[in-house]
Amino acid sequence: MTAFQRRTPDEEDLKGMLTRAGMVLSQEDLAIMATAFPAVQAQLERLYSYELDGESYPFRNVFPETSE
Amino acid sequence: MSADALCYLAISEAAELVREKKLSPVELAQAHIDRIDRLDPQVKAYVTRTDEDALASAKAAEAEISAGRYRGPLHGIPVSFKDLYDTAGTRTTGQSRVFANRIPTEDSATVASVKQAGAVSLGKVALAEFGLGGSPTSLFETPNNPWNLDYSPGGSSSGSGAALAAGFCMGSFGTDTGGSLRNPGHCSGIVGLKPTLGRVSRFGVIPCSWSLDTVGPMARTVGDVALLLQTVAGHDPRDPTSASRPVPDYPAELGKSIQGLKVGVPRDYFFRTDLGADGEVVQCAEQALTVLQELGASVEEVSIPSVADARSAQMVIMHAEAFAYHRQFLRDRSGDYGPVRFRFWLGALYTAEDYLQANLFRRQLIREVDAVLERVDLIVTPTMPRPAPKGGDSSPFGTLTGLNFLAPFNLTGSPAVSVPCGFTSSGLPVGLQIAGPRFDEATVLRAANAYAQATPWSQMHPDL
Repeated sequence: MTAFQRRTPDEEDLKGMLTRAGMVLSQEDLAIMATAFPAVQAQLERLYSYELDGESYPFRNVFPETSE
Repeated sequence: MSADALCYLAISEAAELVREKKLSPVELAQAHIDRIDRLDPQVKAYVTRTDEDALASAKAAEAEISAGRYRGPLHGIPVSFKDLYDTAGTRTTGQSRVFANRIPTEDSATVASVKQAGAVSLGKVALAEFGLGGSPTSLFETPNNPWNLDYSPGGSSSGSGAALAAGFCMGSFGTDTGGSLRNPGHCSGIVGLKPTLGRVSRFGVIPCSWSLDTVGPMARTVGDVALLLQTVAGHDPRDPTSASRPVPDYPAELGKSIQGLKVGVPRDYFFRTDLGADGEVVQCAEQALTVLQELGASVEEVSIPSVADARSAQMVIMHAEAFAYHRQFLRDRSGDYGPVRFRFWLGALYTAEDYLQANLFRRQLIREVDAVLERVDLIVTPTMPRPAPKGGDSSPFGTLTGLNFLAPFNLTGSPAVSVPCGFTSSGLPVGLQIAGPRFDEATVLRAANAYAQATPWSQMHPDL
């Protein structure tokens, strides 16, 4: 499966990611987080709609001037 | 001149009077302190005031100047700092209960440079919690817009924007990870410059997102922003993103003509009322383009094909990096965060692959913007799609979707300034964004200054 075809995470995936990161959310907070999941999914779908290749690092190759 | 009139002088005007010993730095500091006493209870720009230290610094400046040791245009000038900048001996909280009692032992690089230049710090100003959240925060109240107290002054450098518009300081320093210097520039009717990433040291500033955070100056005039930038620009080995590029003489560059400058206008995204941009905001920007043409610039259409998805990439990078910084605090003390915790938790939802995809996108956007800036000298847009929002509690996630005119230039690291370009019919300020090639703040400021000098907007102040 290429990055372009990657399945975007569903609500259960996203809840699992919070738990795996060690975050303990109240039911109330989790319910609020759930309201953001569709927007997060939409963002990821947009980003994976680009077929991007090559290498990238937070600074090197992004801002060559700052890595001199 | 009245005390209130003193508070609305430009730095360059006050500096001349101070240098000529016609204005005492003590009188200037006291005028600001009195004005803050009287009016900040409604604006709420300051979170920590340092009146005694300020008056002591002002007296020291006065003594030095009297003795013939004038340090330069910031000597004796009242300034403020967003409460993310470490200040030795004065608490630096990020406007969060998490850091409510955090007292740094060392000044941030910017604070040290500004103090060395002789400026007088009036204290720390408000922000959205940790530079990312909305309203409310877990510590202190959120400020109001001096142009209309029912509205937000913009953020996240909200206190800086409000303080400048209200005449509570002459210069301020904020940070910009997704637009936080330019957003309050637009909403509060002042000038906010996001320098090139790497131009100004971030040493000693509480981070939000390591690969996006930029620190920079705010003031009421472009000339004052140039003076402030001059004081803090330059290489600092303590900041791994700091560039060792030469620093031009920014104030000297301002006087040059913009005759022949080529201005690129990406109307296919930034001027789209059908996508949600406000008609009055777009009209102000269009009128500004006419002024730039009258000043000798040429205007041509350009396009940045991927720009509509810049916000998505910026959000992934910013939230992932912010979560990495706050992870331990969120695990142990999540109750000490305000609603900003929801934004930090978003960072746990992305995989390493997502983060790298966002960075690959970032590189593509940089190539696209660089290609545009080979054809034109500058890119000009409205700073934001809409005027200042109403105050009060905001969505816990802010705006995750929709038009965003600020984030693209965080991803590209470009210098970008917001300069006032008019008002809506309801009296809210509107900003014009001017972006340029990395490390060419001089041309960005030159165009902004030419525009500001030709229009009345930067001379207008709210009636508090």
